[in-house]
Amino acid sequence: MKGALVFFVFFYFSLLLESTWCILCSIYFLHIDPIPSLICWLALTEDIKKGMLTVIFAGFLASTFSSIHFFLFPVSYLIAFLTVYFVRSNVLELTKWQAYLVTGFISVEILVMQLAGSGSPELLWPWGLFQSGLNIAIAPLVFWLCDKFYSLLNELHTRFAHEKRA
Amino acid sequence: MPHQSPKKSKATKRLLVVSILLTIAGIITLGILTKSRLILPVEMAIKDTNGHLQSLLTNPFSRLRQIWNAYVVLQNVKEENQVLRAQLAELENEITTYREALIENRRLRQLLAIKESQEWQTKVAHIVGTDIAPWRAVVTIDAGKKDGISVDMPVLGQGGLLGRVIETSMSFSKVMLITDYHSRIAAIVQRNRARGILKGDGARGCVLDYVKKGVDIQKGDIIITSGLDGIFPKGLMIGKVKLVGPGDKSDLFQFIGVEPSSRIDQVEEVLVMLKSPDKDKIR
Repeated sequence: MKGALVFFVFFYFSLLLESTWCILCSIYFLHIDPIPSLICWLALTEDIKKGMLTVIFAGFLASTFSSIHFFLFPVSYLIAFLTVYFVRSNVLELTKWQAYLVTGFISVEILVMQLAGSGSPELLWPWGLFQSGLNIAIAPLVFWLCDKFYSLLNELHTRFAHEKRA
Repeated sequence: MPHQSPKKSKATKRLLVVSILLTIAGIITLGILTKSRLILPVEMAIKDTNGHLQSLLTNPFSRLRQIWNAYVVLQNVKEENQVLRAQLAELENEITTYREALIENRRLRQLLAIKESQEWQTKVAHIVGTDIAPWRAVVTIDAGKKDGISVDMPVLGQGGLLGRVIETSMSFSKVMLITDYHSRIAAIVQRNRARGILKGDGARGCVLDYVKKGVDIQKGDIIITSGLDGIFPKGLMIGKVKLVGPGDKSDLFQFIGVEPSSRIDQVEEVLVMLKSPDKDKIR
């Protein structure tokens, strides 16, 4: 549950920043988008039930910040989550750098669904691929922040449990 | 609490996953069948909360921009002053000409017993956010249903038409800008009344489509709304022709690039035209 909480806090904060301050850090359509990295991190941390519910809810929340069809966000996030979860459970135990690469792959997945679903598939080449490259580049920072916040929550929880027992 | 057998718990998990997937499939089907967004009260409340938080984040940003702009303006104030004085003299001459035309127009209207076009009530609003999908030119403004805003109302920026309202919640609305890929406006060239459809190019400009080859279009021609779409009133300034090209040999129409007169990437305040569009009234 802590993983979902960490994901949700960073996710909502990202949405707010992307919809307000994004103009400061965007070139044409390229912008800093930590959401694919967050989904990848969640799929590597949380179990399938909580993870799925979290990304679906997050998707519906994201759709309130956008004018593209409301089902595109939950579905694209869910597919991205399940892809990483499948890789993690059935193929290999991901190291950090592999996780960053997977972030790039799921970025393409998300963009394909959202661009095609909103009637602009021609933007995938080359903009969508550059965006995925950028998402790989910022993935280490997002993973680091999430890991720090997650361990902090764990620490607080352990301390609280000790105090309660004492 | 009775313990579930591992087999039973596995079955419950599977059932849960299947039911979630079925729910999503249902939502997708519903979305495709209705072809529109279902604005639920919960969604509206979330949108209002988002809007308030976006306002909080946007305010310091727009203040910073104002300070920066003021600094840049001060740097060039002397040169700008000279240019403005020259423009003022030119405009005074133009005003005199227009005043004459206005008086003549009123006189002729009285003669023809044509009613003056209805005045539009307006509402000033501020841009508080943009769409998180960067390929959509959609902004959020801080005026909603409680301010009398409804879908399809025209929105003006400094200099001309900016877009139209596509969604509203209680206190906030979404405006699709004229530069959006999905924006379509019935437009005419002011000089020779050539008709076309103005489309957004998805970046910062527009394209006037469906103007036949051979129609005389020149760089700098002013594009205005024609009122034929039933959304925008006739005569609103949209922009100027920036580029004219013949297009491919197989094309039936010219390529006409239009630069919007509103500086879309710098707009902070907008004006929403409140009266609901009515085909008979706006033409």
